[in-house]
Amino acid sequence: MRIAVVGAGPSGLGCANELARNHDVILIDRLPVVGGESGWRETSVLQYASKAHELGILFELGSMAIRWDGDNLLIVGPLGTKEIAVDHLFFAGGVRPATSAEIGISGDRPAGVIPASVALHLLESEVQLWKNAIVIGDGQLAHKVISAITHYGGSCTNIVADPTETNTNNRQITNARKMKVHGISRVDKFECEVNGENLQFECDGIILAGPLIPNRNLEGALMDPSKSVTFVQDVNGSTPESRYENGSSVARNWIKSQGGNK
Amino acid sequence: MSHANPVDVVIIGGGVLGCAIAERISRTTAKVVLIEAESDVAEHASKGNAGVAVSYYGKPGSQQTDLINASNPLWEAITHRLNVPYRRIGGLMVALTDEESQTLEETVAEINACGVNAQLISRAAAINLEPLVTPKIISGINMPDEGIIDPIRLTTAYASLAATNGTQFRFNERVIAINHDENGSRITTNLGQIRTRFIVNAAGVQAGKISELAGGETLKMYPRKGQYIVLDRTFGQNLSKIIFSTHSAHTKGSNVVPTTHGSALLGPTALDLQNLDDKSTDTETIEWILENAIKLAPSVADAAVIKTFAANRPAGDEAHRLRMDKNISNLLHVTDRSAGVSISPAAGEMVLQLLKVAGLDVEVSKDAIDMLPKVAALRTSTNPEELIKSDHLYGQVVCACEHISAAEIKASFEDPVPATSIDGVRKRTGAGYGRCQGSLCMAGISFLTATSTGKGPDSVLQTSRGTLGS
Repeated sequence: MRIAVVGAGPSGLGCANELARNHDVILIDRLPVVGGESGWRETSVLQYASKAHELGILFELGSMAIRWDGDNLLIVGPLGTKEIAVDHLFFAGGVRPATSAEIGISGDRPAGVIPASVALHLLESEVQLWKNAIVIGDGQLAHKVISAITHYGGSCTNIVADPTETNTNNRQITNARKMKVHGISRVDKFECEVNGENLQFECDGIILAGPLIPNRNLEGALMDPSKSVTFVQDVNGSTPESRYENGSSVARNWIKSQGGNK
Repeated sequence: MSHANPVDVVIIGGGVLGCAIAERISRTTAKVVLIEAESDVAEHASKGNAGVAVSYYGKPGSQQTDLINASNPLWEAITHRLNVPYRRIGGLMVALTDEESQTLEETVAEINACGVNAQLISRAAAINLEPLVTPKIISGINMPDEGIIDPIRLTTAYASLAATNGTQFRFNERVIAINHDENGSRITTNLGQIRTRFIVNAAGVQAGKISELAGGETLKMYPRKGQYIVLDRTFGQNLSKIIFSTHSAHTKGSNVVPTTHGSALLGPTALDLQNLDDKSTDTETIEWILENAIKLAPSVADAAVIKTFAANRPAGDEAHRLRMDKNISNLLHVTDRSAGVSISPAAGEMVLQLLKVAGLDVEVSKDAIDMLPKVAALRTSTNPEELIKSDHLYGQVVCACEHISAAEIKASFEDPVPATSIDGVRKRTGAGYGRCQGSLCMAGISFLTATSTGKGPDSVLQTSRGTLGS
């Protein structure tokens, strides 16, 4: 079979390398490099990618898959478009933090409420964007944001589902409900209810690092899996290795469901 | 900055009406300046509305109805020349009880009395018209001339065309005082003074304040807050009609509206306020909007909510006004609580005629253009290959959810009224409208906006007034 894997992060690489033992695989990513959110310099990613090359996987990097009709995948890049005819599509388009609406945050919509994925890109440029931030979420994204902000002397209040060990002086709030943003031009206050008590915190940024949600942005493969689409998006994966293993395992299960290797 | 020679017309307010009027007058020989307190056009009510170009809103015989009737047949032509997404998809008003069914009989009589096409239809016909409507529907009104439009793009397009024709747009400028003499008026702002022969007060909810500063009539204005929910395209693209609630004595109701982007909007609610800056959502109201929408279209329950927001319409003692001030002979007021988009084409023409009667002596400008250059969109392109060949930036997808390319974002920075904030890019291109709400693209767009405006990533504007960093 001819198979397309969209997303060349660890999940997509794990999936592609497993499939490539018995199928023709083409691996597509919107970035010009492999690795996805794990980054292209990650040692394990480099190993996965060199294995993919050995297995004869075709790479289409720097191209975004935008339409899927069940037989053909349309990809676009700066050099033009390509229609790729494949028998099955694996979508490994990564994950993102939940939005305000998904978390159920109400209130004002001022500047300074930022998805953690965006905040990290900005913080990596070492700009000191927030001095007193509310970070909502307790996954890896939240930890990265908190450590970047504390690194330059800013402080964070972390809204978490479960209390965790922390080696910083940052405040943790658990069981927060009825979360609300305040601010006219910029965010200046965060409000929530904890065990029936109303709490308000002054802040200059709210970073959404809540539960991870699978990205869905390929027209024709937006929501439910189908006969021609398998999703490979590991919202629980913590390391490139675990995501790679999850990708391999999804591919193995699919091969089994097809009645073994053909 | 002081103008030694007076300009002909100063328009106060860069909402949909102010910009539509600027666009119309810009096609004459008049010298026009538009001043806006925010850093961009299409803020406040023009940014936060349902995007319906209505065929019916007001009472028969009213000026508002005349303006809607004059505007409605023009939409295809106007949106073609302004390159604005619009579709005349039609609306379906839904009765869920026998009482509502009776109200519909009165409503359809009123719509027809306005000279607008509408018919009472049976339950079966309604379900046939919009299969997503609730099976509990008792009867409906088919309103074929209702349309959906991108209200923000309409406003920015009016502004772009006006600017191309020489209208000067001045942002972050607030009116402090207005004085009159035999040659016209002197408007003092936080940034300087402008001398003008005529003033158009299109300041929305601030129109009362402007009239007071100008010594004009007392206009009572207050914000009426509306909350909205945006549903994912996977639901919105299956919706073929605007589904309206039956009007009640107090409100036109909360509706289910497909958008030109493919998503769907639920709302609005209506709550009169004192505080102009209160644009907050609350959980109880959002839950009510959802419950109400599920009654109209049960599959709303399965749709993903991608955003909630609130905006304030310019309400007041008159829901609509377009007339010269009774005391000040060179001052014209134009406000509309809910139908600003829907009256905007004809309102521009009517304002020009009223100003002419009041002494504005202008002719058709021979140099003026009436059509904006097309900016193609990757997502809706039937031939992306051709598009990318024409400009390789079309192959660079920045907003992954909505498939907005770098070419479209670049065009928003090069517009005659350019995007100067992340929100300005979103308003002009749709980047960030999708289900991830900017999680993937906002960093890139903030860098591009910072570069385009010469700002650093901390001081780049995320919204009209607020910076990304603190």
